[in-house]
Amino acid sequence: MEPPEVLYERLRRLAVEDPREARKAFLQLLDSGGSALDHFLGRISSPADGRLRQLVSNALRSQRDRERLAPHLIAWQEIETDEFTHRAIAAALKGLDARSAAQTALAQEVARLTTAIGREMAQRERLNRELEIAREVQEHLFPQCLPSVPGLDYCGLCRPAREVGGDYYDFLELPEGRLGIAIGDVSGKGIGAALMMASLQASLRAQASVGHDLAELMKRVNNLVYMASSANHYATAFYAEYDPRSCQLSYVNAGHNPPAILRKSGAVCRVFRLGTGGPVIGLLQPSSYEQGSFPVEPGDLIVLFTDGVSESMNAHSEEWGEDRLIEFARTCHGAPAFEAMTRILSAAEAFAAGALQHDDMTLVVLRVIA
Amino acid sequence: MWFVEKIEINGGFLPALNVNIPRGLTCIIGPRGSGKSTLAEALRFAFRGTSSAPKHCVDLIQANLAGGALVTITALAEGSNRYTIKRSLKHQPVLLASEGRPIDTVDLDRGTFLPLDVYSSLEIEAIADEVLGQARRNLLDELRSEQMRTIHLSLAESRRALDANADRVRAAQRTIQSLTEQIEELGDVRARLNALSPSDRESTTDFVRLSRQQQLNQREIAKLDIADRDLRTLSQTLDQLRTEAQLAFKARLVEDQSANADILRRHDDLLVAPLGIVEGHVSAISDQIRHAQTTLAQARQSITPAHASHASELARLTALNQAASEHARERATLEQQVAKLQGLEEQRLELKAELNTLLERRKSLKSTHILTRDQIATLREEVASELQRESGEQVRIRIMRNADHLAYQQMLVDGLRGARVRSHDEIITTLMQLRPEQLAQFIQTNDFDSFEELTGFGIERSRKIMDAFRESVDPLALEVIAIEDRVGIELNVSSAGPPKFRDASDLSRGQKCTALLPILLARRDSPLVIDQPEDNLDNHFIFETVVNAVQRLKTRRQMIFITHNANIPVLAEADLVLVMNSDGRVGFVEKSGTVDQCREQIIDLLEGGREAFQLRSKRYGTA
Repeated sequence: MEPPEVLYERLRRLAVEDPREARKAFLQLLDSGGSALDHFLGRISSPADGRLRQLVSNALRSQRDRERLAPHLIAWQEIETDEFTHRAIAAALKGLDARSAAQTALAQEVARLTTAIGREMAQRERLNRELEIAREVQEHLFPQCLPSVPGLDYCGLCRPAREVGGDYYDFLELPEGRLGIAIGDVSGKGIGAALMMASLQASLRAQASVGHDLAELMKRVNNLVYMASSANHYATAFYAEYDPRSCQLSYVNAGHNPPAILRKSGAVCRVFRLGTGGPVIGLLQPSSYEQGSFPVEPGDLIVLFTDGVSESMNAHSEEWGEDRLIEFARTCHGAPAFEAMTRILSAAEAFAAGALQHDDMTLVVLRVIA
Repeated sequence: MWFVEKIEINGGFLPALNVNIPRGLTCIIGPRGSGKSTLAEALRFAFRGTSSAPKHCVDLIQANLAGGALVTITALAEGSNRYTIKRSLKHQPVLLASEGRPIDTVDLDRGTFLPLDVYSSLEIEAIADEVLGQARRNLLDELRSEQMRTIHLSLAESRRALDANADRVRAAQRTIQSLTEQIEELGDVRARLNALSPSDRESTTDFVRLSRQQQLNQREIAKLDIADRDLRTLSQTLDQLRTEAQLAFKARLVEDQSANADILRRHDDLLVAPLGIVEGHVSAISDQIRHAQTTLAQARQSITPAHASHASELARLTALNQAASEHARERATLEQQVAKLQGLEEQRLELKAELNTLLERRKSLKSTHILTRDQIATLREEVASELQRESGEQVRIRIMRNADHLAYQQMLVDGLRGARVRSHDEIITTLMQLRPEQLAQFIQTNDFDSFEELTGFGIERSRKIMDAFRESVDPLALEVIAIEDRVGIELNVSSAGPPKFRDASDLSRGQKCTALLPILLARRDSPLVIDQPEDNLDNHFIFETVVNAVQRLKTRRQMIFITHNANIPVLAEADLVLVMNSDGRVGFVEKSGTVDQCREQIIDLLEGGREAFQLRSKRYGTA
């Protein structure tokens, strides 16, 4: 299998030199599917790649092909600046009018991000700094502001690895003063992972405002992400809603490392884990989920993390491990959220002792105050 | 960055004009016919002459600067170099350096020295109205003129190579066609020969041998001709190379007037030094070519006696055959024809191989050409997004790649004319999904199936359409037909609620100006002269779009506005207001000063004057 950049360059040239051969080559790629196809489809979003988007739109042979690539076609249609490609995409989408509103919303969201990436791509094409772009996309997805919630001190941080992984966290301002808290980890690295992360964020944000039933919410998010992503791409996700009036933390855990709640009663520090939920996102359809609920008390310290933290490794390939993470978190009980967060990160780094960070490290810490 | 410091006009409609221009914003106001536009055009005239100005501007200058009126401009350039330009209609322009020394190495009319942006109201409208065409593209392209020129040079070069390639492809195709016809004409001579009983005469083998040789001799001559031609082409290319090398190595870095002349002079010498070596190499190659030509001439000479002896031998045998029996004669003729057939077939085979090489070569020429063309759009997108950043949210500027495709569409319409199919418009719409190079490939390879699959026209219709195209469309021209981008310049026309963007061509005169101004303002750093159209403007837009942009950018470039709307001088804080008037015979500056000093005239002369002052004091009050 040729490297993605080589494939891209080959098709870019072939599309001009010999459109028929280019079509054959793309159909081969389409039939083989997999990450090469995803990479290629994600790669061709810059304005200069109109010819390749046209190649794709023209090459689709059947309704099935068109349905399969519909999210890409819809996303491209939003941003297309090339006249010929515009017509070709419109022709390919003609028969696909029965699109659900959610799918369109999702496609538009992906389009927004794809445009942003495309613009970046165009500028950096020559430099080929794909990972940096992915990192920027990732940074755009992190919450830009923290809604204030009475009785809650919280914060989050993602420290990206050199090769961008797929970590994600988010805080959502919800009606009635509630706060949505999300953390997730997308499989794979680079642009593909960043795009999947974007669609996870978009679907979560779209669905979170709709209703109270978190199990149903996660089910819909799973469906949306499943449709927008390819096989063998998936994400773990944990989503919770905190209601300051009832001091209830409702949550659903889709295959994510169970967050820990640390509660001190007297000299004892008890640990609860939030594991209720269901399978990872984007891998199976349909999936069903179960909602968990946890009454929090003043003083509780809630730690959400990704495996980049718990599995941070030292030079001897030894893992820090969830046990050590939680053990350390106990010592932070009582500290403000931000301090707890930085101390845990420093501890993980101290353990790694300068070994290369191989995955994104994301921490979200919440402290319930009286 | 440079500035106009002073304008003096002596004679014509403005016989005694002498104005110092400040660095920021100057607004020229006054009743109709008071000489405002003449003043603006005089600036353009002084810096650029009349060759690049639109006709209505040249007319104005010729009428109002007649009788030897002299325009004198003082300009301050970077590095505190002061220049004076004197120009009248009658005489060559004079450019003086600060100490009064004339500079004659600069061609002012090219517009690259002290570049000035002047837009008359009609020019602004013309850009707004021209949905397709070059005017809007120029607005962007000028900002990357160096890169654009490089791209256009390499496009011209690849275009030449493509044309040359197309000529050779066509020649090869024509020759193959004619060979095929000749081969068909000869028909089944081999079978006819086989059907004849063997000859009883000894000499037939000789005859057959010589007939074949005759064909081979002809091809030998043809090959010599081709080799001669190729050498001539090579020699021409080499001459061109020699000229280009001279240009390249003799490039002069020194700007005679510059203080840096001495620093660069030494490098000029270094640059030109290797020219001798290069020319030596080129001459060596030239010598080799001449040598090869001599060799060819010798080859021709050496082969001639052999050819002559074959010819006479053949003539002898032919004469013998003439005398032979009917049967032997027929046989001899057929032998001769078979030999000819064989020769033609071999020649056709060779040509086909050559054609394939040419077409392979064309593929890479074509893709280089098209991909280079794509770079233009990418550059334009870059410029558009820069301009967009500066122009604010009310104006939208975007590149619609390949949306200016009239020539292509026309080619399709013409091509389809001969096809006996219905609903041409519908067919054209579908075909416009295909890029020219795609369609050209279908035509060239006669690929109905893929064509049908893509268009869904049905087998019968596809065949008819393709037949018509093959008849009348030259795929070699089609695949590289020029297609241009469209530059969308749009204004938000909704004053509340979600934005509603409309193309500049579809706006009122005043709105057109509003849509274009932020772009014209943001383009570069050189002084900008704008003659605003007289039209009612929606004050909301003026305020939002134009005033904000003027205020923000007037520190970056000098601006001279002829305006009819009070908001620009009052709210964008003009540094100088020039009030012009005329006594019916000549125009003059009636008053000049700050916005406050000219308050009365602004209120009297401009629409919305009082409101603008009220708004201004309100803004100051709250600030």
